[in-house]
Order: sequence, then C-alpha cells, then structure tokens
Amino acid sequence: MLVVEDRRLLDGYRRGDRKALELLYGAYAPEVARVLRYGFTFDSQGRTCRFRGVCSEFDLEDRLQEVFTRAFSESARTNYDGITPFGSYLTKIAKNLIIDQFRKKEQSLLEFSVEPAATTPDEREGASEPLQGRAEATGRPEHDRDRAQLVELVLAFRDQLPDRERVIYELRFEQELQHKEVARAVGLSESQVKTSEQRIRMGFYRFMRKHGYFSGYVQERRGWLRPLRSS
Amino acid sequence: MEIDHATCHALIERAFARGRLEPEEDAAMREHVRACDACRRTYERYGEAESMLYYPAAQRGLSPSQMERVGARLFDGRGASSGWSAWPKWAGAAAGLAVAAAALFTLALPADEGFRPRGASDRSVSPRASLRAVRVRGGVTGPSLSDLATNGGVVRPGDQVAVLVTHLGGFERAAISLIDPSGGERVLVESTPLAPDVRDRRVAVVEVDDAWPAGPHRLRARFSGSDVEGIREVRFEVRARP
Repeated sequence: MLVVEDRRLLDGYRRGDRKALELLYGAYAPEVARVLRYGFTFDSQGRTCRFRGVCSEFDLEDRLQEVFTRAFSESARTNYDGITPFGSYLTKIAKNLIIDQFRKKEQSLLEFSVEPAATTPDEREGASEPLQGRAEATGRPEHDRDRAQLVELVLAFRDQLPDRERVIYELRFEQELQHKEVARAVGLSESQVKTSEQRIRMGFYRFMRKHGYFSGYVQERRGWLRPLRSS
Repeated sequence: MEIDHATCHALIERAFARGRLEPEEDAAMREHVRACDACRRTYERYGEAESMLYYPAAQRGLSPSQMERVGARLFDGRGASSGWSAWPKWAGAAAGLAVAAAALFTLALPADEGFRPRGASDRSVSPRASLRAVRVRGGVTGPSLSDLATNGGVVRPGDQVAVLVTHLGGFERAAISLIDPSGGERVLVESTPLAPDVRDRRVAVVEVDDAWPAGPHRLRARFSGSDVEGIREVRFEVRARP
C-alpha cells in the first residue's frame, strides 16, 4: 500500500534515497521477518517443500539484512513495477533468497523437509502466551524447562522495576506503543522514553546474568584492559 | 581478523543491551559468531531472552531492537544523499576497522612466521614496516576500538591509544614518539631492537588525560637499520571532553 499509493516514496525508492529506504525498511521489515521466521511452502522439481522458518536469531537477522540489501539494489529498484504491493515484492525476494539457498544446499540444510504443508504462521501464532501463563508444550522437555525458567525470570524482572519504568515497560514492551505514544501517556519526552527503554534493557541483561541465565554461555573478562596489559 | 571469545561476548551483550554497535565492532562480532559455535550459542541465548522481553512483537516476527540492529547494518555509515550505491564503500570501511579491532586483541599471540621465499636471506627483503594507532574507549561491558588512521582520528581525555607496529624485515631498531601541536616531542618507546616478521605488535599504550593539549598530534615511529632509515606517522586530533 505504502509505495503504490505514495508517488514520492516510489520515486525516492527508485532513486535509492536513504529516507525512502529507511521508511520502507521500517514499514516492511516485520512482515519480511515473519515470512523468514515462520516459513512457507514452495514447489521444487515437482515436489511440495516447506521451509520451516529460521531456527536462529542470528540467521534471522542475516537473512533479513540480505533481503533488504537485495531489495535496495539498483536492479531491484529499477525492476519494481510500482503496481505490485511492495510487501508482496519483498516477500517474493525473501522467498527467492530461501529457495536459492535450498537449491544450493538441499542435502545438508536441516531447516527444510520434503512434506506437505503442516502449519501456517497463523496457526502457530497465538497458540502460546507464555507471559500470561499459557505455555504450550513443544515435545522437547529440556527446551520447555528452559523456556519456563526464562518466563519466570522475565516476570520477576518486570515485578522488581521501579514504578515509572514498570509503566514504560508495560506500554512499550507489552502493549507495543510507539515511543511518542508512550511519551504522551507518561508525560515524558520521546528521548526520555528511549533512554528509559535502553535502561530497562541494560537492567534486564544485568538481571538475567545475576540470576544465572547466561551461566556457561558468557566468558567473563577480568577487567576490559586485560588484553592491553598482558604482553 | 579475529577477536577473542570474551570480547565477542562483551560485544554481544552490548548489541542486545544498547540495540546496536559501531559498524566495525558489529562486523568483527558477526564474523566471529559465524565461525564460532560457542559464541553463536551465546548470541542465541541473548536472542531468546530478547524475544521474551519483547514477546508480542518478537512472536509476530521481529523485536524492535532486532529491527534496530539490522537497520543499523543496512544504513549506518551512508550519507543521506549518497544513495544505495555507497554501500560497498561503507562495507569496506567497516572491514578495515574490524581488522584494527582484531589487531588489538590478538597482540598476546606469538608473532607469526611471516612469508619468506625459500632460500632468501633477510638482506634480500626490502625494509617494510608500518605504524598503527588504535583508540580504546571504555564502556560498561567492554571497550570500543577505532583505528585512528581511518576513522576520523579523534581522541578525548579518558581514551587510550594503543600503538602497534608491523615489521616484515629490513630494519633493526624502532623508536616511537608523540608530537603535540606545538611541536613538543615525547618519547614513548626508546630505540629498541626489532624482531623480524611481527605484525601489529603492541609496543605502547598511552592514556589520554586532561593535560594533553587540544589539537593535532602525531605519533611517529623511526625505524632504522645499518644502512636504512624510515619514518612512519599517524595523525590524530585531541579534543576536550564533550
């Protein structure tokens, strides 16, 4: 809708203007990420295949970046017809990226299987609300235990926040309001809200570390100057 | 182009806690994570925690801070009017700075053997040496590194400057000094013997304090041998605290 309706945005996209590209990224990144995270069904050499979605946050970020790098390349900008909804155009690029990878590594990629489509994103979404106490078992006990511990810690972290940060947490992290909406609701400036959000995040990882969530995962540095001091 | 695990973990935590890293730090961290299973597990652990922190958004596909991190990789370092074609230049700069970061954190490793044609003697090698200065700026979870020669070259009180020397043969000694805006010279390293085939060997670390005069400074290395001399310099600027 965005590009098709807005001629100036379309022109900006075609020229590769940074502002236009940032706007498009902000508007469409969640939609593309959803395709990458939850997968899709496709046909390859007469078989129905399903990409089951990325298993890794690191890979999700890599592929999301790759999709937009392709979408913002000169050839993609020139080839876009301005009529197809831009979200569909991006989704097609995302799917092509995945299908290319599938074809290159068909034998080794564990994320793929050759089977009829089983689930759709809509079916998976909302089946579980762990922070509301509704966590669906995945059939992997260790994973479920780990996730239950994570939920417990997130809830404990939320409960110990001071009043003001607690309100910001609820509005921003749970209700997903934009910074300016949170600012209006709590009577702070937008930049104060952003600062608070960052403080909450930093506090969150400190809290998680303190409660052992990263034990065995993080190698501590004994003073950040150590590599400089050793000879 | 390597950083150690502890540095990688510190950068991962900073990426998640603050939402983004400097491009050169991000490039170094991601390259390490791609090649290191342990650090990838750490990254995923942070990713899982983040997904729960921003649960509704992450469940739909992308948390705001993931969006910010990827956006920073896509857009940082490009001028508003430069257009998308400037991407390769940005990528090149990031890679260069990642090399600097890697250099600083591999100093404790033994010098590599370098390459010398079989049968050639030291005398057949033309003198090759270089000087590099890396700014080290402290942070809550770890330092940020910046190559002064390629990144604007600004330091402020509280920073440190690590002086690195590469010597691939041909010289015998080196001396390093710091020259302030008035031309005053302060010796950091007296003339010292040089081993051949060292790359990015740290030879000094200096702390920038408020006594340093603002303005252009130069780090100068004088390399010398029995019949050869060479001078290498890195220029940078000292600015007052913001």
